[in-house]
Amino acid sequence: MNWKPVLWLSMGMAACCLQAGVKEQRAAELTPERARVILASGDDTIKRRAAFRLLLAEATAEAAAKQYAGDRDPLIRRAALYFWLERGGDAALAYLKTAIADKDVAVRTLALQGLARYANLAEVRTILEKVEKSDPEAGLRRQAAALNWPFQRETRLLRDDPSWDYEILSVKKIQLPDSMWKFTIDPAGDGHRKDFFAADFNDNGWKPIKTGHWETQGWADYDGIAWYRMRFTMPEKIDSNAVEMLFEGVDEGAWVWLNGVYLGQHDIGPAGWNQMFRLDATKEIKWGTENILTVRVLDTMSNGGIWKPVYVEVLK
Amino acid sequence: MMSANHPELTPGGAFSLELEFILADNIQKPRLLLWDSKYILAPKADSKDKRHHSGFALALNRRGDSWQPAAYFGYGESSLSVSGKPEKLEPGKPYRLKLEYSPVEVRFFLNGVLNAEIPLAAPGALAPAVYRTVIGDRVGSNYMGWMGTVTGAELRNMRQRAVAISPAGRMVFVRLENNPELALQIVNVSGKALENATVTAQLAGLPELKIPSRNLNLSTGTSTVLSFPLDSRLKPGEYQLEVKAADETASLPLRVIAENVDEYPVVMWGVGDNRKLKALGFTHQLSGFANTNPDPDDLGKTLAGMQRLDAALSEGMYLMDNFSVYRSIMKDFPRVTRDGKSYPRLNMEASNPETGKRLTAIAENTSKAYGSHPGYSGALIQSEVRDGSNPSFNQFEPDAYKKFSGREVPAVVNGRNPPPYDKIAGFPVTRIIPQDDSLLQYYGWWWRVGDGWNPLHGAISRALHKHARPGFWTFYDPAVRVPPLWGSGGDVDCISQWSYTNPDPIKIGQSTDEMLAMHGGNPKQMVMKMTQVFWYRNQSAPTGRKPEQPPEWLATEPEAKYISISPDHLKIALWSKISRKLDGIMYHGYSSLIEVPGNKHAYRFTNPACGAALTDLTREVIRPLGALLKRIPERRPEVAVLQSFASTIFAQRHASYGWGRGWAADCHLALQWAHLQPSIIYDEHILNGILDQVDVLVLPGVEVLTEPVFQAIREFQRKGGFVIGDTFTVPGILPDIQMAPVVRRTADPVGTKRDLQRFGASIRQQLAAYYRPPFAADDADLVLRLRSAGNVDYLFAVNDKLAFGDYIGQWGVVQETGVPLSGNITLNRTAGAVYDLVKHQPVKFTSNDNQCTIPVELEPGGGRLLMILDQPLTKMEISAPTGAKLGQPFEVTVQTDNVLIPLEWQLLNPDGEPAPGSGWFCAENGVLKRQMTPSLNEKSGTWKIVVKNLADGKTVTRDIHIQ
Repeated sequence: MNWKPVLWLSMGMAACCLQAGVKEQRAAELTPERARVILASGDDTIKRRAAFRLLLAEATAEAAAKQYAGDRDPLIRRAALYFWLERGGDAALAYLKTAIADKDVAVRTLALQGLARYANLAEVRTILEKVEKSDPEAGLRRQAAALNWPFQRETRLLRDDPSWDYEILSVKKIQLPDSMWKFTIDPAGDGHRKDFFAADFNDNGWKPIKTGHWETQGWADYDGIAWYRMRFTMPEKIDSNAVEMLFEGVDEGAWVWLNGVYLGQHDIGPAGWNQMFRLDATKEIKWGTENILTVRVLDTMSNGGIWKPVYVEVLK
Repeated sequence: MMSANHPELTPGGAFSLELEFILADNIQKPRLLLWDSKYILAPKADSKDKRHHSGFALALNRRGDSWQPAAYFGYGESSLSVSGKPEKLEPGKPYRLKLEYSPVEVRFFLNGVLNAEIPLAAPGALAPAVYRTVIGDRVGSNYMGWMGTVTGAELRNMRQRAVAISPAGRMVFVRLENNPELALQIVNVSGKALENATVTAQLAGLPELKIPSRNLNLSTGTSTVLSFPLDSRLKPGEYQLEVKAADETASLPLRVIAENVDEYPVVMWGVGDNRKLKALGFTHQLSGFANTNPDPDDLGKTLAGMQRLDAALSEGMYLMDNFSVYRSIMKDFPRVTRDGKSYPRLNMEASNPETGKRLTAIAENTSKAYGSHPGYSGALIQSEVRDGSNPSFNQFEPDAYKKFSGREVPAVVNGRNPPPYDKIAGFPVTRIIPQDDSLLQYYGWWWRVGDGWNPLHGAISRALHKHARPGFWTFYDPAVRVPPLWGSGGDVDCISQWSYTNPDPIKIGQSTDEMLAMHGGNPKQMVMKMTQVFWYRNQSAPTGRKPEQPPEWLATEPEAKYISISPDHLKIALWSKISRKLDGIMYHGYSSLIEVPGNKHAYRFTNPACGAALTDLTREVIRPLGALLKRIPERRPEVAVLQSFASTIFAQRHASYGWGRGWAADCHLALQWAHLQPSIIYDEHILNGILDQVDVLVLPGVEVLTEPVFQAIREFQRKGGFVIGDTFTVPGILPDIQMAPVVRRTADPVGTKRDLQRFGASIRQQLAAYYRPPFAADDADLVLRLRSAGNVDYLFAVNDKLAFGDYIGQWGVVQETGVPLSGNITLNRTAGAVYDLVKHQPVKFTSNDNQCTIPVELEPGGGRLLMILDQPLTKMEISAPTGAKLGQPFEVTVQTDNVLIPLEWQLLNPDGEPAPGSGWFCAENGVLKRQMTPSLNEKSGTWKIVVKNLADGKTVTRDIHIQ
């Protein structure tokens, strides 16, 4: 669709010419030389940013990105960091390591996201841990924790197995009791570092809670991370090909361990609050004895928690 | 009492049946049968069992504490039923109920007094009963039996007429319609064949208007439909059509209504009383035709709809079909998840071709059945279906996507939006994604066409158009309750959207700007805007909190879930939306606007002043200025707010999504209060080069961009364009100004509005050295919007100053009451004249140094439309012949200054009455040319053409002698 013919009919011609002139004049007035003067001596934030943009678009880009990486305007600092981020490589890493300590949260955010590319480096992991523990912004601490998340597992269900060519039947579906959860909140978000998921973790101090949103059970205003643990006994072994944990609804994100082993996660943001998900537990389930299920839940808005039933489903 | 099955007990022609009865006390049954030889009273429409369509029955049906007479008739292959008016009947008291039957009408009498007279279109004679007649009980069972005593019954033949004459179509016509045809049904009830009979039709009192006669050859018990051409050059009014056939006569009422002139539709999105709606200024309302599954070949079924259209059109009300047939089949075609299960919220799989096949067939039948009626003016197609739509994993959508893209549906797709970008593995840190990103591509396809709804709307629209008259228009709403991507509604003729006025009524303007942005993808579509005339109680006057000085309405409607909006909100919202270039406006909430005795709806009538406010505005603004409002062009988008599709789907938290909520919407309000006239643009506008027209680009909540849009914005900056970002803007854009988003505090509407106004003022002040807006005002609550045609500016000024009043202000949630406002408007142009187009007069102003200043005083919720020109208006001349003939067209030309000017145009007959064709128009390019046709049956003599310039109030008159 061509916007132009419609608009030319409607324009006030005089106004159009005036404004078009102002835009062009603004662009024409700014040369690289003038830009350097403005950046060096000017106080006008808008003019300085326009000047920096010009320098970044010219052959002088790298020099400008170096020179103004520590500029007094945080948006200029961030734009310089962005230049390096696009460049990548060792030069980028150097700037990222500096910028992660910037006093402006927007600069630190970009630096943190940039450092994720280098998370395989031990020194970067150390930086991320430091951010996770001590950045003044809770959002950044959470992001760092997510980047530093030590548990990885790809969910592979029986139905996704390309070698499985048979119909899948549910042999037994065991609903876990609604009222046997133990619960604690984790505002610092470091429960995974305190081994809350471990099979032998002592959860005696945790509170009882039922399936249902935690806001209705005494944690009315809490948004953040919380943990659930439950002990349940499995029957004697049933002839089967797979065992899956089926969660009908966790509001809104969940990370799951069974008997201390990480099964996987359901983390698609707030939209995940009402979506059923399954995790394979074939190798981790213990037949004929007690099992310990641990669920780390993140709720960022409105209600939170394991609010619909959880099942162990035996498949063949 | 049971009889043997005597043939005489099913009369072959007209008859009367009268029964005397006494009712017992304390009857619990829902129906009492007085006479039954039919047994299956109302068989299913597709029943082929002839037993079910024989004989007849007379019953009383319970209606609350009343009883309604009803009769059921079988005709061999079909059945009909009619009901009279409910009556209160006392137990123990004797009554006489009489049924008079003929193939063209049924009458009920109670104790000799006419209870009801119902037209009937019997397909033939009654089919003889196969069951024996039972008096006081039902044939074949006894659970609808009479409770009381039947003391007498009398069945008589009535005089057998030769033919029954009745309308077979509409009886309301629009003056000057092209080739209208009158359809009459003639039924031969004589008992013998009719040969070479003549049927004549004549309008009483108009012998000079000849209607050709028709020949009739008809076997007994059969019917035919005859068409007669009608000369529609008649004066509006009621006429009697006298029809003669085979020595029978019938006098049928026929109505002619005035033709529409250049109207600005005001649509009631609901169903209500035609006359009351018309009085408020409405021109259209919704009705249900397609949902009755019409059969264009079934006259009886179609006639009821025709009569409904006639009733509305005779009051000047046009009906729009509420096409929601999909509801009846959606459970058979549910959208399914990857697991093959229905989504919790049922939504029809519109991508399944079978749904389109079924629904377009119904649409085409409906068009065939009703399309010829001028009152069947349009249709609302499948409103509000996208909210519950999700990708469906039967084969249709995945196969269609594969065909479109060559790709499978991405594995992370499980709902109508992708996961947020920070949950997508490998999402670029820069948040700039390629245009062919797999999720972006999928969701762009799915929202535009993939879920099937947009193409289905288009297919249904085409099917409805097939037999409809020119001017028929379809619409879809809510058209912007989707991500910002062109194509919402498919090929419907018009898109619309509803929104609420609370807490800030100028958000109607924000929503309208979203509509105009959507319209950019299909400029041929019309755009209309709807205001909800009710508020949710919990968002305005929450229950559970009773104020110390409660308003009067709380005593009568303490539990109301939805209450009427305040009149000042209605006014501000109206001005806000008509300041944009729309093709019409709509309202929803009939029983919040018009008092309905015994109202059982959830929408409660709590503010009578609301309807009165709308009446005033339609009379003083919409009707006189509508022709102009449709025509004034929009200006280029000097200040443009980007709603990005990529950002909306990957970072939904700021998106308005048509609800007018969230930071992006609030930013727009702030810019309105700062007199920056924000427009809304999409990614697609940018890809089509719109940034060449933009001076200031605002990016609220733009967290993700595609590479081409990102580069276009950078290029825009390089060329001197100004960018305002916020703390969410993609890091690759270095904005000139970074906004700190204002957080809305629902509990503090005053503080929030103040913060947003201050925010807007701050933005304007920061822009001052770089961008000069075309206007300013000295009060943020004096909201302005400018449209222009050449060097002429049309300035809308709206008083948005509000306070807590005594309607709902006691709750402190919404400021609902307007406050008078005096202020000054400054335009960056010189002016030679300024006119108030509502008051039709010049207004004071000063003008020098490329600036003009206009003082205004606005009443609470008030608005103005000012026209600003370089020079005063000077020209208005009428050219017309000196004489003309009744029934013959003649041309009148009005020449004006070369600007868009609203004109009131009256053609007055010798008695000074306005003739049809009078109304309100708009001169364009210095001229308005009209063809006038005085009605054939009007008065001869000296007529007057009176044209009033609604800008300066001047009038010109011309006499014309018409004979």
